[in-house]
Amino acid sequence: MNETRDMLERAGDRFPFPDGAFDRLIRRRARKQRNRRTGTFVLVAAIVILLAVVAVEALPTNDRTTGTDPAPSDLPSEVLSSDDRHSFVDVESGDTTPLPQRIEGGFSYAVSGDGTTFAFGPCCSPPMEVYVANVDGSGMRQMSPQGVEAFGIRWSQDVGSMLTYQGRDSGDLLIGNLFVVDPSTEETTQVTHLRQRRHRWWFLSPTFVPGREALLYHLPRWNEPTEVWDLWSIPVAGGDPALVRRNAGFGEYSPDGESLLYLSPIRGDFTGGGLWVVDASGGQPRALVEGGGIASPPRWSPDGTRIAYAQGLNVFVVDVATGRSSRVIRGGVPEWFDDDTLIVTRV
Amino acid sequence: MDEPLQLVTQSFAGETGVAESLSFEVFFNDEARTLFRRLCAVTGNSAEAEEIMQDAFLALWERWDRISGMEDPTGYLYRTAMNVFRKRTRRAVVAVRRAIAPAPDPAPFSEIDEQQDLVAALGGLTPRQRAALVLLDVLDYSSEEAGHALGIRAATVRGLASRARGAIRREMSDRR
Repeated sequence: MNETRDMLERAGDRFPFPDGAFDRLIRRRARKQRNRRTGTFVLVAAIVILLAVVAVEALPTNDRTTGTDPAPSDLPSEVLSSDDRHSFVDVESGDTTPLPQRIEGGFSYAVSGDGTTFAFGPCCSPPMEVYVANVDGSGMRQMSPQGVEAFGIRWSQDVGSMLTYQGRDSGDLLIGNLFVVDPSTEETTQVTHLRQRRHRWWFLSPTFVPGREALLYHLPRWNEPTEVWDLWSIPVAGGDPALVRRNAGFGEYSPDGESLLYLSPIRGDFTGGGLWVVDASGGQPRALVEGGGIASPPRWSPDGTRIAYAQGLNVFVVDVATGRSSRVIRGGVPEWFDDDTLIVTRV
Repeated sequence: MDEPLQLVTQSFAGETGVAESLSFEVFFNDEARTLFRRLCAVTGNSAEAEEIMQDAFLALWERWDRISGMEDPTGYLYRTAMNVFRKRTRRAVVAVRRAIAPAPDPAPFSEIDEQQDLVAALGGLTPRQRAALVLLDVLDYSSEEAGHALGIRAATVRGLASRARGAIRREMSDRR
């Protein structure tokens, strides 16, 4: 059997891997999506015409000139989901409550400082747009422009209620840039002007810097042979980025701005080797969680006393003062809804 | 700038689905070359292997938000690839039966001009026999798992692999 295995492996090795395979995959996917959209449009148009004809025929003759408009749907069908993938989780008891169905189809969630509004974005299949909605799922609005893939949505707690996300043109798989948007006016501003490249370490993980009207994000050192990331900040109004911390990623400042959490080192699969906290003014960092495999960005609780993180396929909460971690539930991508409640992606 | 102490990290391979779902591209970069090589061993043809690989990755990409959270997305990729291979083979058979195949396929492994023993031994097998060998001997699937991936019974997989190994042994002994 070993001889056969060796022979098959040798045979496979003789064929060079085709250049540009991933580019061809991107084009193929774009073509398929376009064809699907066209097909869907044709189907929907045919159904609408058919229904209109039936409705007109069914109306009494004297009503045909005064038909009423149908109720508009304010929800894009793509973001509706009926499964039970995301839940509110009580941190103490582990009790779960499904998210309102209308906003349940997201991947990452962010909650406004007053706890009344969600921002959320799906990942990682299209459409990858950012939406905001009331916590009951009503009033849904799209915040990112059409044709832009948006990731890493975050809501400022003190900068006049702003959102930030990483956006890039759909399908190009470049790293894109960071944007802020004012949900009340839907005015969007590009904050960074990063050199565009296509790279496996593309995720910037933006967060707001409390009280400083700035964004914090991470970038790999593109020229390093190994996977080394650094944390950077940039004013929301634009300007030059400033290095915040070397060999760190997935950073977030505490709500009072006094402490900085980050993961280090970051591996190629976006997991972190350890969760560290350091005074924002500098000093010796403190390891809160060790052991590696920390998946998805850790998040400060609104009161700044705890940090939620995912390790392996479980969500934990660590007390910042004592360093004591407790498992909350099986899942990932934790996000605080309030000081006692997480939003968790069930896995 | 003070650097945090380097931690002794522990491998959580297979348990990082949530983080991995951040990037399909990472998954592609990690898996594409190995899958391509194994599909070349199955099909004996790089163009066919790339077509199957592209179809398989495309299928996963469209469901990536779910698949990335699975414990073994790589296993899912290989099952999908084998399913694509099976469908393409079936379509090719139907096309030949209807005599509408545009052109005969090149002989398997004709692209590689070295290792004549390799070409002779593997080129004499059917694609299904090579697929059975790759699944059983390279990927270490059980015959039940291989049968599921190829849409045939486990006993058939064992038969295909057994006949393939016999043919290889005969070919190699003839050449010695």
